[in-house]
Amino acid sequence: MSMSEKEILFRSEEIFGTLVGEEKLSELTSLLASLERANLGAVTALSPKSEPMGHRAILREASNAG
Amino acid sequence: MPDNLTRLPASEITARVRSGELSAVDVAEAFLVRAEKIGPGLNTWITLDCEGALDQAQKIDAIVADGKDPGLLAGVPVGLKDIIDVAGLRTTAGSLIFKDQMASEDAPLTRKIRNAGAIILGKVNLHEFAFGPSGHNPHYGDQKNPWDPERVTGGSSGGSANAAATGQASITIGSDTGGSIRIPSSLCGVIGHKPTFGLVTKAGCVPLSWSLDSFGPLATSAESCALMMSAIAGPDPEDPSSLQAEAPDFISTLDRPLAGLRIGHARNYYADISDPSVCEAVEEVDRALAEAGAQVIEVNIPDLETAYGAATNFMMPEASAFHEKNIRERSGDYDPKVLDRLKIGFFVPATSYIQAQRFRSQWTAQVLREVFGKVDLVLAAATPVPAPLRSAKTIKVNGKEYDARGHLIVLTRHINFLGFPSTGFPSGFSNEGLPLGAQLIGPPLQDHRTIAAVHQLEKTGALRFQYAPFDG
Repeated sequence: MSMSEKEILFRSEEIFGTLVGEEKLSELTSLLASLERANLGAVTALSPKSEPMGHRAILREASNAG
Repeated sequence: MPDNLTRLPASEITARVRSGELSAVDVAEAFLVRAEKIGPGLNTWITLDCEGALDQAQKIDAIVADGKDPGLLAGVPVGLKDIIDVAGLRTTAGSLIFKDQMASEDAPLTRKIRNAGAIILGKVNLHEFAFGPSGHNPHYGDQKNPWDPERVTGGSSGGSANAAATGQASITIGSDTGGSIRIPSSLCGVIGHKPTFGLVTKAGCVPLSWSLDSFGPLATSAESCALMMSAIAGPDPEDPSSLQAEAPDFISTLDRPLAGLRIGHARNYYADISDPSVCEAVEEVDRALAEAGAQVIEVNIPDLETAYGAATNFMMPEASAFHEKNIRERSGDYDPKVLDRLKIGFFVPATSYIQAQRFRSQWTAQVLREVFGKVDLVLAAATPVPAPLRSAKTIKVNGKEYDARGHLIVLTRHINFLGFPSTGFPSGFSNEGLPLGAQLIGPPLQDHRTIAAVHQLEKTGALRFQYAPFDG
C-alpha cells in the first residue's frame, strides 16, 4: 500500500528536515503510486516458492564453460 | 610527444612496451598531453595525476629493462571513474559531500589494474554518486559529448566514455547499476562491457546499489575490453558479492567465429520505444551476424514491464540507505535532482523491496529457461535514442513524449536486475551524425562470449569504431 500524503509530509520533515512543496509532493505521490502498481504486478506474478536469495544461488551455479 | 601514440590499440601499446620498443613514459606523456588539451572542454577529469602516472610509467620501463614481466596491461594508460579508490588521490564520487575524501589505499580493483602494469592517469568525471543516466554534474561540470558538446554523454560514466572516445585514455573503467557503462558507450560511440554481477570486485568503491553495481571497461575495441577483463575479473575475498567462479579466458576465446552461434534478436525489448534510426542500425547488426554464419532468431523477453518496476523498487531503497546519514545532515550539498531521486527510496515499503528481490529470482530463472535455453546471446538496442541535448527536458520518440533522462535507461536496467553480462557497441550513426548503440547480452559468466562476438563483428567490418571529432 502506498503512503498517504500526510505520511509523506511527516517523513519528509523527519528525515530531510524540510517540508515538501505542493508540486514535489504531487510528483512524489504519483511516482510512489506507479511503484506500488509495479509491486502489485510482481506480487501477482510471484510463485509461493520464490524467495529473495534465489538470484544469488543462480549466479553461484553459473559456469564460464562454453 | 607524438599524438598518434594515443591512437594505438591497447594490445599494441602493451606488446611494444613489453618488448622495449616503446617507452611507457613516452606513452603516458602522450596521453597526458592529450588529456590536458581535450579534457577541460569536455569536463572529462576530476583529478589528472600527471606526477603519479609518470612515476608508474618509469617503474614499468625499469621492470622491462630488468627483463622481468611488467604485466598484460604494461604501459596502457587508464582512467578510473571517480568512485574507485586510488591511494593518495581523492574519491569525490562527483559530489561535494566527498570532495575532500582522500583514499589511503587502492581499492582491490585498482590494485588489479596496477598489478597488470597499467598506468593510472587519474579519475574521470561522472553523474553525482553515479546516480543519473545523463552525465549532468553541477559540481565538476556536465560531461560533454565529444560528437557534439551541446549533447549529453549519457551516464553515469560520462567521463569514462568521453575519455575513451577522444583518446584521452586507452581504456577507462566505469560502473553500471542500471546502464551506466552501456548508456554512455552508446551515446559516445565506444565499446563498453557490463560484467556478470559479482565477477569484478566492487570493494573499495562508492556504491549506488550493492545488489546491482558492476564495474567494467570502456574502450575503442572489444579486444581492449577483453584485456582489461583479464586483469580485473575473478574472486575477491574483500567483496561479499564476489562470485567464487574462476574468470573466463577472455583472450583465447576472442577468435571464436560467429558461425554456429545462436543469437536471439529481442525486438520486443526495444523496437516500440526506440527511434527508427536506432532500430535500423540494430537490423544491420542482425544482418551482419547472419552473413557471418550466426543463426539469428526472434526471441521475446518475458514480463518486461513488471521487471522494470521491480528493479526500481529494488534499487531505490538501497541507494537511499547508503546516503541516509548524509541526506539527514548535508542535504543542501547534493545536486537537487540527484537528491530528489535519492529521497524516493525512503518511501518504498520494505515489503516492496523484498517482493522485488523474490521477483528477481523468479524472473532470472524464467529468462534463463525461456530465452537462454534457446539462444547463446541476445541482441538489442542499448539506448532508444542518440544523445539528447543537455538542455532537453523531454524527447519525442515515435510521436510520444518521454522524460529525456528517464528514457535513456529503459533498455539497460533490466539487465542489471538479471545480473547478466552485456557488451555495448556502436551500431551506426543517426542522420545528425551521432553514434547509435546496440548490445549483446549473455547468460551469467558468459562475458567472454559477448565480448568475442563484438570482436568478430569488428573483424567483419560491420562494426567500425571511429574516434569522436572533438579536438579541444
